[in-house]
Amino acid sequence: MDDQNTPEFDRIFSQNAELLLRIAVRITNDWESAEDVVQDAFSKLIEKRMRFPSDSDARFWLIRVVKNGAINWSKRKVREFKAYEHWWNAETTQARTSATAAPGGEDQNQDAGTDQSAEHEILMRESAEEVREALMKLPEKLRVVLILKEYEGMNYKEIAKVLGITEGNVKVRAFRAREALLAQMKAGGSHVS
Amino acid sequence: MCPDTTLLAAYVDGEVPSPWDERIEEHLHECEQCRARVAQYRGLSARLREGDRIDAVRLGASVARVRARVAAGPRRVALLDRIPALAALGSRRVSVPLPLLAASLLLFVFFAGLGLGLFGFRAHGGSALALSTKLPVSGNSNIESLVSTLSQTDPSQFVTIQAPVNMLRPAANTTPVYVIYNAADQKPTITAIPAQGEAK
Repeated sequence: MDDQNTPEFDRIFSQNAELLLRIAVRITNDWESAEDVVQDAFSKLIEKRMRFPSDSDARFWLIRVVKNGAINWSKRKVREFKAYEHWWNAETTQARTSATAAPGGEDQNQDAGTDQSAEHEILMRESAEEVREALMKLPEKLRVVLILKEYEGMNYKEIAKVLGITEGNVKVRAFRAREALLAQMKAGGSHVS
Repeated sequence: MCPDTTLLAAYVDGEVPSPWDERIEEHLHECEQCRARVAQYRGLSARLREGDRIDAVRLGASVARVRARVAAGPRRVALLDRIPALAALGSRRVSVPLPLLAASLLLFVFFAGLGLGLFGFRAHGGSALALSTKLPVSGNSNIESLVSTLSQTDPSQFVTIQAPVNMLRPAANTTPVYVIYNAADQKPTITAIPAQGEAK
């Protein structure tokens, strides 16, 4: 692919851009970085003058590049977050030890009168949110398999091509990812049935 | 006998080929434990999709933005971000034990000083080294003259003795001399004590 003005590039772009953005945003949980990562993948396609035997090969290549870019971004963010968290914990510990005793009991029963249906809705939302958070905590190898399987409906063979692993390996990862999610949900007190 | 749980997960994903697919289905009718497991996996999938909120309008806008940006050319990426290993270093917290850090600093200062010649260990020694090591073994040295001159100066004064630069290999027509400086005002107070024994 030499130029982004060719019909070939247009076709590959329109066939894959949405899919790639969805995958990137599900990995990074951040639209801006997802756009950066997808832009980089298409730029790389042109820069490296990539040639593919078929459109699906181009798609697998693009997914792989986007997946790697998104995971690298996420790793960097996690490290930064940990650094901030470390600093914040130190700050708050310092503040707590130097502060006088906090006034107690005033706010404890504030939510007692919440409407039951609203509460149910919140619980449902929290539950879905909880699964999403548990997914974000999974090791990248397991998380990516589940994202491609559950959200993009890719089969084991396609996932294997994207990740460059065997189908058997995909099967094991898909299983382990689910088990890890269930374990996290149980640890968090949720019940999935 | 129950099938492996990996197989049950693959069954939920529709990845078990016939006839094993049908056999698992038959087994599920009989086995409550496996049925519960499959229900758990299906519930998890449903919950995952439920929690998925990708706005179609936002996605469309994003696609258009990316297309425009690809047309504008490659994104400028910082050097650190281009090389993953460097990027990792950039934001990674590195903790070094204090004693190790102190030892490293000392070593660095020592070697840097050595490199800059701060400790006087030069290959072709300077005056100070020549004075202390070469003079006593040299038969022509005028160290007695220097000592007697120093003994006549005011003992309360600090003095600086500058040895001749070319003491080891004096130029043909010059007489190398020691110069004694008064340390207080850095002016030569006593000069021209010949280094080669012509003083007397």
